[in-house]
Amino acid sequence: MQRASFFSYLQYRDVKIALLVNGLALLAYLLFEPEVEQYGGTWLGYTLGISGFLIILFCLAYAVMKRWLAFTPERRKVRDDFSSALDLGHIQDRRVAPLKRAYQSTRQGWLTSHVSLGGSLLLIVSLHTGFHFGWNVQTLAYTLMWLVVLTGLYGLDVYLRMPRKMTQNLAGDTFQTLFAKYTQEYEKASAVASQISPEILSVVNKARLETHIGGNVLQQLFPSRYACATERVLSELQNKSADLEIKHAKQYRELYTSLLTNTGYLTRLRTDIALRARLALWLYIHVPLALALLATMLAHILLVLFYW
Amino acid sequence: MISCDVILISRDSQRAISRNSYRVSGEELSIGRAEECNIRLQDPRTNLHFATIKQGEDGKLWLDGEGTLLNIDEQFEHHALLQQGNHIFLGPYEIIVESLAGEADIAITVELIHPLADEGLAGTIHATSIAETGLSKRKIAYTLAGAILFVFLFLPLLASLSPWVRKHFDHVGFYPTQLWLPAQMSSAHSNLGTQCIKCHTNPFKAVTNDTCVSCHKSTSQHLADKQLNSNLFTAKRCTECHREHQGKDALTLKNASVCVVCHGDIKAHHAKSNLPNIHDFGKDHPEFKFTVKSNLNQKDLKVIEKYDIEKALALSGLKFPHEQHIDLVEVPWDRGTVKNMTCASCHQPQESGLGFNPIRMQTHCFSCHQDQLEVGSSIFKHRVPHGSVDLLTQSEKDFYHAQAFLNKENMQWVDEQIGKAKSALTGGYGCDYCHITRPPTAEGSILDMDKVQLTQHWYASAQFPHASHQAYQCKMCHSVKDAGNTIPNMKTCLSCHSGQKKVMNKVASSCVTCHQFHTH
Repeated sequence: MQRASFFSYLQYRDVKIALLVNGLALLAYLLFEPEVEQYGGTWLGYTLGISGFLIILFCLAYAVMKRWLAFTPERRKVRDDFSSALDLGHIQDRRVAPLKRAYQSTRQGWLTSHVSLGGSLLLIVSLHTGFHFGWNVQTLAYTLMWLVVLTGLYGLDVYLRMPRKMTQNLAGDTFQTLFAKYTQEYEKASAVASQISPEILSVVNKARLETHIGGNVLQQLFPSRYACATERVLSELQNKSADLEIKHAKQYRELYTSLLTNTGYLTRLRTDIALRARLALWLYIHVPLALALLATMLAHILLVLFYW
Repeated sequence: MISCDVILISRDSQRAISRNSYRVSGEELSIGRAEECNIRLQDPRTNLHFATIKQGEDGKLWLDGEGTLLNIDEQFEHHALLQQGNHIFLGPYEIIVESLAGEADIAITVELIHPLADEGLAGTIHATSIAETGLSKRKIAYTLAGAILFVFLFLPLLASLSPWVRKHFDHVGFYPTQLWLPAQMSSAHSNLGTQCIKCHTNPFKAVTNDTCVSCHKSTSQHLADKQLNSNLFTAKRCTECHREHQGKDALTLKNASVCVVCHGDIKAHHAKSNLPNIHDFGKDHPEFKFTVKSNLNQKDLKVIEKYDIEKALALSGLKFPHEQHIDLVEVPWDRGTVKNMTCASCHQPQESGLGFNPIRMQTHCFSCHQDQLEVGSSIFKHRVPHGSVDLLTQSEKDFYHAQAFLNKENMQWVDEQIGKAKSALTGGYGCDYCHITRPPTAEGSILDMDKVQLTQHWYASAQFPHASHQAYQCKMCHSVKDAGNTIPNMKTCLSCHSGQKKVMNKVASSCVTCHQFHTH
């Protein structure tokens, strides 16, 4: 659904433009007979280079436009109205729906152009190089361009796949509600543990304090690689079950059930964090590389003019 | 249609109860956190859809867990008949069925019996998003961009503009300008290394002819005709044809367009020229013309206007039927001995790979043919050595004078014998076997013979690198069976080569593929 709606925006207008630009560039490259060979210094090379530069500027402008759309007074009103409508649960309100559409369509339009034209850079800039590479600033710019586009395409893929996984994982809950349930379950576990023995209570409280949700980037991305105190306590309880008095059997079952339920909550909480981290992490590569590309291009353009 | 009175019970910090009630109705009454539920439970721990109150066919009300086990009076069931006094535990809520026979079909109280604890496990939660870890896109981006600008812009600029900095980089052995070098320098300028400033003397300005000439002081002008040279090149920039940064061998432009500027309309540029207009080898190149030697001096060449190989061969002064010197050939002076001759038997390639070593009589001809002729009859049979006509004449005179002295005969007999020798030498198996001979014009000479002038370069205005064609057999271009096509013509070349434009399965060829710049 998401995939279809993303690309079907404005009847594939931007995809058509990108394909047309690519087709023209390829045709010109095949038909043009250079005096020496294909490279960035022929008239076609300059045309492709300038086109590529303008497309890159346009793609970078998306970052600016995204903020502009969000922070200009008019747009802020749209956003605020939209947010408040969400908060009040009036999302279906007839007054808010057009505002929501206006805000989202403008932004989605920019995003579609950003993705379509950004993807077309792969061919246009490759043709601009004439496939001559070396250990120089020009090849650095070309490499960065590839990295930026590839990370962008990865991001697109992530944006298309992750939300569905997140929804499936949360299954109607939110991170906050899940965490509230988790907290409640530990409250319950502590109460039951106190009825069994102070020793068991201290084990449960220790596990409660030592159980981590989230953490550094690696802990967020790969939570299963790190030990979980709650799971450890579960296995400890299994070992201690033989020493328990029969009169505590019911409380023990309740305690075990609570902690087992909590491991389920923890898995979902951590999965939610991991999915959100994956949704965000690519931007920490894409954005810096994009700015690095802009810096490299400035150096490249200046040197072309400097050694004209 | 079910109608239900919902009484919400809340307690303050002193456990004092307050009630709020409202009525809902519908075919079914859903309970849960979702907005569309008839009976909404706000606590976030509640499921979106918890349970539904339904009416049975008998009119009794049931609670359906819709797949979830419901805790009703400490009993766990998927669905249960609702009865007055039922205690239903939905997450943190307790729902009590107060009445089933009131004004509404059912009246329930809803109370949050396990409110959210004020203090959760705050210590448990760490950063739950990448942003909270302190990782900043902006910081990474600025650092990376700054580093790139420093290394790839600032350092090369500094090295370009400041000789002092350049000198210090020389000591280090690292040249930042190298990072700006777009492609390999030509081999002719490779000695300049990364000293861009040597040619690019002024920033933001193109390289001038003066800069080129400052080094190339002794380079001769392109055309021998000074006026023509001035007309053609004064207004041009050297870099229009001599492109740097295009690779090792690309300093001279190899594209035909540069040549066609003048040769496409030669009269407009050089009124005295006899050359035809030409635009492309594949389109309007004239048929090749042979260049053969006009005398023994290699430099004097005679151009045969048309592709006339018979005429060209006649000028060689030799009769050499190629078709009799290929494959299995019987050695003439040793009947019965057969040699398998190939092109390489006589034509040995030069080390340069461009052409072949000259044909030598001693090496090539006399390996099969005798170097002496046998003339005279009966007792006067004798051998005549291979040599010039003068040597031959003298040799015959000496022989018969000696014979006349021994037989005490007079000189008239000598003349008769020399006359007979003449006809033998000029006959089919005499000198005429290989040479083109004529009756003597000078008195006392036995015969006249054309000078032997073997042509080394049949197309002196062009170059043909045989080495780069060695993958092909000689006979693909040289037809020895057909004397008229021994030397390839333009059609032969065009069978594999096209003009400047690339054609499928053909080698694109510009002017400089065969011709050098103004060598003719």
